[in-house]
Amino acid sequence: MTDTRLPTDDQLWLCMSETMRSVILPRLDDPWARAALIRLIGLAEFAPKRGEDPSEQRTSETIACIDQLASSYPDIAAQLPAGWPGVDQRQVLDLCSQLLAASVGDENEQANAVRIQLKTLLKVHLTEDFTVSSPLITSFAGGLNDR
Amino acid sequence: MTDNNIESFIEPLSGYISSKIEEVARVTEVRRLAEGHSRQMLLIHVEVAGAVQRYVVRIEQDGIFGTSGAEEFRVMGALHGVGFPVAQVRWLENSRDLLGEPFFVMDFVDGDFDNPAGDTLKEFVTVLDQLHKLDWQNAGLDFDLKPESVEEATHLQIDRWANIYRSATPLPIPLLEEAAAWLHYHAPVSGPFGIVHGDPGPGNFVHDKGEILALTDFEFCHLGHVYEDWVFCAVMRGPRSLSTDGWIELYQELADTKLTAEEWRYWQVFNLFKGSCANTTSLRVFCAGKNPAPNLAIVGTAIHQNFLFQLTGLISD
Repeated sequence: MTDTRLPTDDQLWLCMSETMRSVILPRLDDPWARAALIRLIGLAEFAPKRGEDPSEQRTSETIACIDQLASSYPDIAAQLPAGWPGVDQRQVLDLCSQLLAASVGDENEQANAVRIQLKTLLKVHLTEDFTVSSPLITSFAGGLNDR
Repeated sequence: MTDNNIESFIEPLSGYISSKIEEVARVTEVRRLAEGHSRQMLLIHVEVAGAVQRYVVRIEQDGIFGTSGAEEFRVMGALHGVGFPVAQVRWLENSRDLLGEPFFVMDFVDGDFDNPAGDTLKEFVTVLDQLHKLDWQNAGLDFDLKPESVEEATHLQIDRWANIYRSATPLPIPLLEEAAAWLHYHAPVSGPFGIVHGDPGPGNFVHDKGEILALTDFEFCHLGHVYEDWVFCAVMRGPRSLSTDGWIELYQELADTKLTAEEWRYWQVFNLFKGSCANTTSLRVFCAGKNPAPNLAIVGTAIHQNFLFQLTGLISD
């Protein structure tokens, strides 16, 4: 929101979360409604923490990682799709899937490099996502997270 | 949404049950029985000729978890027919005309709603072992997938779950694809083959005074390697009642089953993979706007990522 006369998304999410916590929840007796509201509070607090969509950045990082692997291993270079590196996210993820799956049960240098470099990068991406989403597990189980 | 106005089901269910029993039936009460993410479970009171009967209506939710109510109905019916502790199923409705989703109706089995402990857990392990060892063909059970060996069954189940995730997400998830390949590569070629419940443990059986009155939630039931169940119960559903080591002792004592560390790891990865794949279906339904319920958003994000995170760690070790 660039118009400073208007509230930001973060301010609106805070308004929702605080009102649900302090006004609605204490007055709610029905257990199903309480469970749903606590989860909703979790989602209202999760949404503003997600930040910008990381897809573009992650795709670039993954392409760079695969480029590095391809420069060392001709077998990987041969698997690059036409137009590489000008490809979309789906093609990049398809190639990651192919490379990771093919390295299972293989202990050669190329398979190890795929695991060490590419899998590590994908685990970093997953960790980033899970770090932000993990408080939702408490919400799911019926607990309020610390503010 | 999941929390739709369940009172609105009274009229159509009254008509439905009347037509099934060919008598005037009136639903006098309807209430939510348990929270299910893939099925809505309603307890209904039905008045017929002055007497009240209680039934459970199990309603599908937009194909969440990729399972079929029809197969579940069939399996439960056959199990009940051979005297296995399971609720008697009554009527299956495959169309969406009446309640907006397919559903089936079964008898309500009342029990103790406290968390099971002590002898009840022992009895549960014995009953689950009996399920695993039941001669399914003689019992008249009919599954959608009919593998002939434990090896074939395991590969079929890996493909089944991978395909469910692939059809639910717009983009591939490479760490899940690696897990599928890992599971295929390390799949056992032998082992105990039988009826796998698929989601066994506390919360999915009805008990009273130490007796198991009914196993419930057969939507994941299939033919396969029974270690899937033992590990699932001890690790995923059972810890709130007993430590994992406690379950392991019960398995050894009552089912003469002791897994090696590698077998334990394999089936832990398998169950995390299964859960992670199944959870993607929640997000599909949520993102399509078919059911914008908060539990589906959480199952499809944090719970899915948690399973994926754990299984990736186990594969990397």
